[in-house]
Amino acid sequence: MNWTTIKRHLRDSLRSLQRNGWMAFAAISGVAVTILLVGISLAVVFNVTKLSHDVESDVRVHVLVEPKTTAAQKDQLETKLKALQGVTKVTYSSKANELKKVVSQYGDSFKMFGGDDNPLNDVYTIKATDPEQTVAIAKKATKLKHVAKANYGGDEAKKLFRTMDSVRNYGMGFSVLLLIVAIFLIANTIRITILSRHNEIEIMRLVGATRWYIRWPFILEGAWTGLLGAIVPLVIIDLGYANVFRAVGRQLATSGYSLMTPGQLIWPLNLTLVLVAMLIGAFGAAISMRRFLKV
Amino acid sequence: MLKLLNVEKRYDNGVSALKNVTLTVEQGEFVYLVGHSGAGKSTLIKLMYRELVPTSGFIQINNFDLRQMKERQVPQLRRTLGVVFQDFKLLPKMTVGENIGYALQVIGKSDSEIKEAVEQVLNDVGLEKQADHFPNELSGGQQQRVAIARAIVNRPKILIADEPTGNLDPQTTEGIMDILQRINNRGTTIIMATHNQQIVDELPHRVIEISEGQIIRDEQGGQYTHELDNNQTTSTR
Repeated sequence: MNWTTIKRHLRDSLRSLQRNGWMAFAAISGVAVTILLVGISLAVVFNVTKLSHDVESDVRVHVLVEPKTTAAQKDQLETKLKALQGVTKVTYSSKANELKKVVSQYGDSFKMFGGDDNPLNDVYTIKATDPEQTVAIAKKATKLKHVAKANYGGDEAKKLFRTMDSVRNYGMGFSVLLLIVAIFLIANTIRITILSRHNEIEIMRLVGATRWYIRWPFILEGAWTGLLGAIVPLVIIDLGYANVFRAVGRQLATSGYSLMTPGQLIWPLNLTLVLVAMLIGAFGAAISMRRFLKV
Repeated sequence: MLKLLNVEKRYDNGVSALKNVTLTVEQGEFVYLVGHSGAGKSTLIKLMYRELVPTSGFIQINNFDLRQMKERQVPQLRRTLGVVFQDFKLLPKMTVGENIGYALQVIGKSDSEIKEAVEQVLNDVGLEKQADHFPNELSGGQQQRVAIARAIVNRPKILIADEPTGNLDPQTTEGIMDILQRINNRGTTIIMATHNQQIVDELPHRVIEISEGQIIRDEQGGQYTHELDNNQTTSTR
C-alpha cells in the first residue's frame, strides 16, 4: 500500500464518520457507555488487587528476644536473622519502645509497667521478600538461640494469604469477563452500523475495488469510533478517580494503606481502554464486513 | 470481446435460469437483450460481470475466462467493464464527483488525474454543475447519468446496462439513450437489457431475445417484438 492510498483511506474513513452522523453518534455512544462501565470496574479491581498486596506484605514476623539476653548476643541474633533465606529487612525495637506503642494504643494506664516491671520483650521485626515465606522464616527463627517466640499471626496469616489470593484471582477473572463483555458490546455496535451500509460495500465491489481497498476505510472508521467513544468516559473516570483518591486516600492513610495514585492508575488504564476500544472497533468492522465482500 | 459457449446457470434452489446459451459480441456493437421478466436477462448480465458463476459452459470477456478466474481477479475484470443498473447503485454518502472518482481511485489514479477525468466525464453527461451534490439531491435521470459517468470514466471496452431506463420517464429515457449512443459511437461495446419497446424500435441495433433461459432470436437491426409475432398480432386484430 503506497502513501497516497493510506492518505485516501484515512481521509475516506474520517469523511464517512462525519457523513454518517447519527449512525456514528449512536455507535460512539454505545462504545462510550461500555468503556465507562469497564473503566470504573477495572479501576475498582486494580485497587482491590493493590490493597490485597498491601495487606499481605504488611504481614511480618515478630521475633521476641528472651529476657536477659546481652547486647552482644542480640547483635549475633540480628546477624543470624538477617542471614535467613527470604529476609529483606530486620528492625529492632527495645521492650521500652514496645511499651510506648502499647501506651499510645491503649492508654496511659499501661505506663505502670514501665522500668523493671516491663513484661514485654525486645523485638526484632522481620519483613520477608515474599509474604508467602513468612511462615517458613518464623519456623526457622524459633529454632535460633535467645529467641523466646517467633510470632507471624499463625493461622490468621495463612487465612489472610488464602483470602487475598482469592481476591486477586476473582479480580482478574472479573476483569477478563468485563473485557469479553466489552468486546461483545462494541463489536455488535459497530456491526449494526455496517449492516446498514452493506449496499455501499456491494457497490464498491461492483466498480472493481479489491476487498482490502474496501475494508481499510471501514476498519479505520471502526477504530475512530472506538477512540471517540473512549474519550468521554476516560475524562469522567480520570476526574472522578482523582476525587475518589483524595477523599478515600485520606481515610485509608491512617490505617497505613493507600489507593493507587492517579499517576499509577490513570495512564495504564487510559492506554488499555483506548487500545481495547480501537482494536475491538477495527476488528468488529472487519468481521462484520466479511459476508458482504463475497459479491 | 465477449464469448459465451453452452452456458448454463442453475440456482441452488434448482431453478434453471439459463440453458445452453451461446453468444458472441464484437468490439463496438450495440446489443439489446430483450425478453419477459424472468426470462433470464438479468442472470445473463450478472454472469458477465461475474456476480454469478455459470454452472457449466465457457464465458470470456476482455480475455478473462470467467469460469476459471480466481476470486481475487474479479476486481481486475470489473475495472475493464462499465456496469449501469436500473437502481443506479450510487454511494449515498459520496458526492457525484466522489462517486465517479471512486472508480478511478481503486485503480490507483492520482488526485489530479481523477479531477481531470471526472470533470470531463461530467461534461459528457451534462452534469458539470452537479459535482458537489449528493445523489439524493438529484432526479432519477440525473442519478442515472452519474451512474453512466462512473461506468465510463475509466474508458471500459464494454458497457453493460441492466434496464438503465427502467425507472425513468420517456423524456429522460431519450436523454439517457442519447448518451449511450454517443458512447457507442466512440467504439465502446454496449450490452443493454431492456423492456422498453420504443427504444428498441426507434434506435435499431442487434436484438437478442431470451425466453425461458434460452436465446430464441438474435437479429441485427431487429425490432423489440419478432416480425412474425407482429404479423400474428395484426392478423388476430
